[in-house]
Amino acid sequence: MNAATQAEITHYVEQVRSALADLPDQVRAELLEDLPEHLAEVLAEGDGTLVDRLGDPTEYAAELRTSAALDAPAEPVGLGRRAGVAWRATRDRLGRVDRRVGPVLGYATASEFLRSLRPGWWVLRGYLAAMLFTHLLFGGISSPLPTPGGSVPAGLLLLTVAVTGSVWLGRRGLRSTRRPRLVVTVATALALVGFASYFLFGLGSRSEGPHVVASNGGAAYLAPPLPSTAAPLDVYVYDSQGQLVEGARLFDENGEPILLGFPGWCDDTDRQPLRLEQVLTRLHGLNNVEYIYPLCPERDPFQLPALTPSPDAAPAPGPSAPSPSPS
Amino acid sequence: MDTTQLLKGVLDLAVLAVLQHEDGYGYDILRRLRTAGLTEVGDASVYGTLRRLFQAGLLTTYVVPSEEGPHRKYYSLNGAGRDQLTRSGKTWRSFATTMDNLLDDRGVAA
Repeated sequence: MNAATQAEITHYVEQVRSALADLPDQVRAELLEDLPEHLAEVLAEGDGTLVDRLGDPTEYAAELRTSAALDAPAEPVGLGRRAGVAWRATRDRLGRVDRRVGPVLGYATASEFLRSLRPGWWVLRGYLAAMLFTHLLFGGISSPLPTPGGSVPAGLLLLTVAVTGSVWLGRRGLRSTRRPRLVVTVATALALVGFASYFLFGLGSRSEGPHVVASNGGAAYLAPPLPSTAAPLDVYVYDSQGQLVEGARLFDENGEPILLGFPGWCDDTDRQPLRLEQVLTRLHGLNNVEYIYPLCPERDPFQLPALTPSPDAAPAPGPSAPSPSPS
Repeated sequence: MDTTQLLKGVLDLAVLAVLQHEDGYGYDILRRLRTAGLTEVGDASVYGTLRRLFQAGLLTTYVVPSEEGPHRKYYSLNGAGRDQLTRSGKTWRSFATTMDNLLDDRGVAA
């Protein structure tokens, strides 16, 4: 037997083995124990490759399984099998939740309740489509109605067409076959993702920097920016003599206050990031806080160590008393 | 009627039968079965059946070295195998006779 024949046999046996991967190791080993020798006999008996003579290895494995009185695999083997098992487990779990939540809502199953909401969803889908269309063609969404080019009648017309179309698609989807339904589902999902990312992105870009919100009393109430690792906690101004300036206010060229730092950061004994609820608690009580710098004079980074000895403070890079030499 | 379905039930008996008078190796047994008229039997079926009958203790094996080709593993009926052949043979004949009579009684053409 030459090396090529040996390789052909090994390859064929491996493919049969992988097709029987679901069998217990011992059963498979017993079944395949003599297969290389047997295939060598087969090759010695005539011309043609193993695949020509015996067919595809997976078919060979299936026939072997039958003749050895082993049941057919319950599932396709490998990744597909595991995915199938996971999918069925998830579906069963969802099914149980479905049946448990249903009675709470007054229905046999929760999915029955959701199905009854379907027309409402169709209308919402049409509305969202009209808004998306307006936004893509005419830019920003300024009102809860789509107003293409600022025209309310055109918006109403667009809304009517979109909602009618969406309901029509939905009713048709109930009767149609799998594939068109799939297309509609995918398109809807894409539109929803588009909307979600637009709003997230929009909100994200707006949340940078301080919000200035006008109150009915005429005085501005300043919502301070949330502290972050990159932004400074405080501002320290020094005069030409190196003295810390206290009680300073910062304004930009338009006279708008410049809000840097985070009032109340003094209270933090360490500089650990604040938890969300701490931040919210502070912001709630800080609506009328004025930004007067430094917000925390006690933490002047260049203060002389002799004046306020603090053993755990970082070495001050500023002017300091010469340390006594050990000699 | 699909003979492969019928074969599943009787392949054991067929393999035992072709080994009754002469030992044989895998491919040789396949050839005997096909020559006898079971043309649809597949190699994997014969190999799988031989493995199973061997596991069940109905066959013994021995290897015959070959000068030019690969060594061949011969299968041989042992005592248990011969008993099994006798029993299964009787069952089959009885079953086949029953089916023949059934079809004859109803005038089904042979």
